[in-house]
Amino acid sequence: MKKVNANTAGVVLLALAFGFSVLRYQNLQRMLGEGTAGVDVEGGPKVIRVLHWQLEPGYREALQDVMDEYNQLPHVKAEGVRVMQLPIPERVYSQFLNVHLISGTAPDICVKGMSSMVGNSSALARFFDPMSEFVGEPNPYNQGDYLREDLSSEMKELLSTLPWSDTFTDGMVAGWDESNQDYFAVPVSSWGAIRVFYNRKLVAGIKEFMREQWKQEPAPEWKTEALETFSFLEPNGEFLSWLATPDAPDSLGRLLVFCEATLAYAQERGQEKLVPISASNYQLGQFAPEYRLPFTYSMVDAVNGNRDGGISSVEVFGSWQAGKWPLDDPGLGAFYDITRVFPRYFPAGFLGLDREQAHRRFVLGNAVFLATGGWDANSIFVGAREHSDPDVAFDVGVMPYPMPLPGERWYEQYSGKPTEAGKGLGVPMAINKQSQNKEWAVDFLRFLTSHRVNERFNEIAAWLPVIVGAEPVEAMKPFQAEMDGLPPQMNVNLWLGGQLGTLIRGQYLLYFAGGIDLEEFRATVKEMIENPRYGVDRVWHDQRISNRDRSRQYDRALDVRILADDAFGDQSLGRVVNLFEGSLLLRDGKGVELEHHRLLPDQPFPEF
Amino acid sequence: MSTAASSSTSSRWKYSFFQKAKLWSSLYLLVLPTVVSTVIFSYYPKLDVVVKSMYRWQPPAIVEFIGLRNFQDAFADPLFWQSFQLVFLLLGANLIKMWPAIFAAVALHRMRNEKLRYIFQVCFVIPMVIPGMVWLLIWKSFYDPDFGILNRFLNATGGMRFLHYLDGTAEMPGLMPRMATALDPFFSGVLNPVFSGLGGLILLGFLLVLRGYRSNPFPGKTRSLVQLAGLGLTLMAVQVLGLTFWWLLIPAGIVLLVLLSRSLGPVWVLWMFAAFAALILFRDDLVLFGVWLAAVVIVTELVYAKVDFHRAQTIIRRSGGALIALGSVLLFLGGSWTEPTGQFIEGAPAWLGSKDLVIPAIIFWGFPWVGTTGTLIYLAGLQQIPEDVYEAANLDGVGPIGMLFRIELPLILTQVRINLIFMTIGTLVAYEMFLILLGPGGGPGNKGMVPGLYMFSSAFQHARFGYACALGMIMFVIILGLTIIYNKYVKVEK
Repeated sequence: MKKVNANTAGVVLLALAFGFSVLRYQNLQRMLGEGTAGVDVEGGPKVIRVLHWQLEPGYREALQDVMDEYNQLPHVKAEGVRVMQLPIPERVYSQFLNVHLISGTAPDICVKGMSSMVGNSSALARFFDPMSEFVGEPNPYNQGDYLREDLSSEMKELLSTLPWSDTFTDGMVAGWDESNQDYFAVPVSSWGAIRVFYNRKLVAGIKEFMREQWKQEPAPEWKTEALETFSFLEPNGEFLSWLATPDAPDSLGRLLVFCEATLAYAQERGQEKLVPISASNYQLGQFAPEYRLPFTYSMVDAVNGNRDGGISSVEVFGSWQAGKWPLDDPGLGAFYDITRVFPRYFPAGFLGLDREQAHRRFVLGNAVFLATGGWDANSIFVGAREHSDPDVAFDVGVMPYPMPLPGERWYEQYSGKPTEAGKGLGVPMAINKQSQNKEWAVDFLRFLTSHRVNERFNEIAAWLPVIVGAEPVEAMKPFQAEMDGLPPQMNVNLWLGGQLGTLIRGQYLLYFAGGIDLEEFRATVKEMIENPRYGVDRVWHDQRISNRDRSRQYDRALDVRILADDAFGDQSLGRVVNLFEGSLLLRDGKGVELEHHRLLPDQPFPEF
Repeated sequence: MSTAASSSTSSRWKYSFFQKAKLWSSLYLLVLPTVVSTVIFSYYPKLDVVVKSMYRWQPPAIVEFIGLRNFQDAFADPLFWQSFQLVFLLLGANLIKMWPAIFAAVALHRMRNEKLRYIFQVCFVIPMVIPGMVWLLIWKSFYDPDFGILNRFLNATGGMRFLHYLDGTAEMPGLMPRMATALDPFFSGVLNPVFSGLGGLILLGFLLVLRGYRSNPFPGKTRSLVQLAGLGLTLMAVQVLGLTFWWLLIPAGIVLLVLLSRSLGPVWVLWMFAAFAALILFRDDLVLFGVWLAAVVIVTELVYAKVDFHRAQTIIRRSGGALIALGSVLLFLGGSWTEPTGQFIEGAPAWLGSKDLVIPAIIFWGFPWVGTTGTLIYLAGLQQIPEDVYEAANLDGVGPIGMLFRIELPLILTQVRINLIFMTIGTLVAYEMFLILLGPGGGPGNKGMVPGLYMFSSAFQHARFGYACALGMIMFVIILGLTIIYNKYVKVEK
């Protein structure tokens, strides 16, 4: 037998590997619609890529279902157009989007968000296409055969004649960019408001336990803790009526008493892993913000000096500097008290746990409550209901965040619930300016947000639809927004951006996790705000620069708008006025100097 | 005749030149793609970082020249300097964590069965194909308070009870907090006022060690003294002038360092780091550092004057080493576990969720710390040691442990240096693990903030890209300094 030359074999192997790589590369390019094998080729396939980070069960399947239907439409097929999705994990989405936008390789349609760079208005206009030329026309997929047959004739008439933007439940406000005075995205789903999920089986069991122990003498330890040590509430007739039912707690005081009882219940039954509330570092961003506005709204008059309908970091810290509110403000104190009480009912080391671990604990029946948004609802409902062990499987209830009732601790500082109007209308899909197939990208977004398709899409994804008249699935109805309440823009937040915000947030986490008490927290925060290098003076300085940048952004947008062909159309004229007004209000950053002078007339504006 | 000769010489020269030019041009053309791509993709971004560090840069629209203001901000940024405390702690821990890989490489090298050694070598390579993210998630699950392997192991072996004995509770503190309480009067009464804390004590030990490395037995009598005094005065001036005008001292500092490098020899690089450490440790009392520096110089000069040079060196170095050891022991006993964490009582400590346990957990991460790349690099070094060196050592009666410390380790110092450099760069720029475990703020009290994470947060959370570039520049200088130290001090003695 002839001996094989090792060198020849090596060269052959190398050639084969190279050939395989070339084929694979070409194939991938064709599939992704990139490079010479992709969209640039005359008569080649037109691939529309949709970038998003929604990896929750059902969402990708729903999007794929819509894409499959769209890809089969005769006119789409005839043009060789194919839509495909590119799901990217949430944690790396920002970097992925930033890098691809800058390098010019971003997909045709990208879910706007996550990226601080895209949050910057000038970057938004630079990388994404404005949509105003399309939103004024009716959606062609809301016509004739595309609509559901059982729709009323009025609804059919409405959907087929209304401009595309008006077919959205929020009038497409979620896609509007104030600084650029244009639509830059199309929202396709809504997760609604954040809610508290609860285990019905455990709630009933623990309520039974509470009733059994309530009249015991001497009082059980949990009752003493809840009513005397923490004074969560004064038990009155209404409380006792609630206790007699298997209902979940519907007020903050009742929730906290219930949590104390849960700790005792777990201890008595040797259920070491059972905790009242399943939480992780992910839930941290949901518990605190939900209670901030209801308790700090009383500070708004002192903080919102310029009455501009929102509260910035400079207003928060500047008004404090001018002595308009103290760090031991009762409302702020109540907010900090509440957020410090909750970790008592969280699992040990919740800051080191992640979202999946919190969900797992809840669906395994090791926690009574879990707070999250509608985007997680489907996986939680299915996971809890279809557990392989019937003893563990349970029905999930959903309730809003409970707030204090009269007679409960912190009620005196409570100003009311914030409105949920416009909350959660999201997954804003924007069209990449460098896309080679913009008209097809717009066409796909029209299809996705047509009445029938959007309803079915959100039914499969188990999210809320965003089109007028589209029905949500039953399980998602509790997530629909409650319209009444306080304006969410009036949030007094000490964590706002910048270095000072990072430092205060770090201290808050330390306080939240039990590392320091409220007095220590306040003292550290005071020290930080007063720091001459990165404290309130720096906030003033940075705000002036930020306003100057924004003001110039308005001016640029104004120039572009005036130069546009349709500058003197009615709609465009309104935008010109808005941009001019915005620029005037910001006054190249001078407004911040005036505000500083108003609050602190004797002090010079800080320079760095 | 001469014309013909000169014409022939000229044509030969021309022929030779063109021949050479042909060869050179083809060689240069072959090298060109590599050089161009290296310049474009490797050097240009780094040079751009230098330029952008002097800008307020928020891509894509805002690029505004602000001179050295980003550096000024960085030097006054408490979070940035706080992040170095953690990273230097991790660097120290990583120096210890390098040893298992050395032991593993030696064990592999000494295996007599070739086939078995090959199998083990392959086993070392296999973990390389596991993606980093998977590795991270596996370790994260080990630390899970309820379901993690670590807590189960500690509970099964009694380790948890021992940890609880050391820790205790708020009502009944364990051994370590009690020891810290007992040492507290000594710390607050003696250590803090005199040495500006434990770090100051250790730094003084380090200064003594540095003074013990003077290479010249007969230096100019006053020159090095004046220069060292200049270093102390510069640091004091930083405090007196305030941090606002720190940049005025840059030229003075550079001149001083050049002079020091000439009189102190290679050890000057370490003096630079001593000065850097002094800025952090004696931040509020640089005058005290100046006093201690003067004391160290005077005492060591006296020792050099009175005792034989080589003996003096040994005495000074050992005194410094003793101070460092004392400081480290005191740090362990009284400065690291001052209060009960209360985490061990229920047998389910939250390693990654507690501000007190997260740093130990990160240090323990990757146990037994036998990294694949490191082990293979050491192994390559060990395989280059000639057999006759082993034979000679055997004849001299060197045992297996002696072989490790007297033959193998000194001869693989080049490989150790490579790994040291990789480890240092890796530790200083690492941020991914901290970002995933603790978030962009570094967790409660920003305790888990490292410079790499701070740079990342500045750029991608706060959109301060220019500032992030300036932070990167400072880190570059520190890494460069450490690399110079390794190159100078960690090498095979010829």
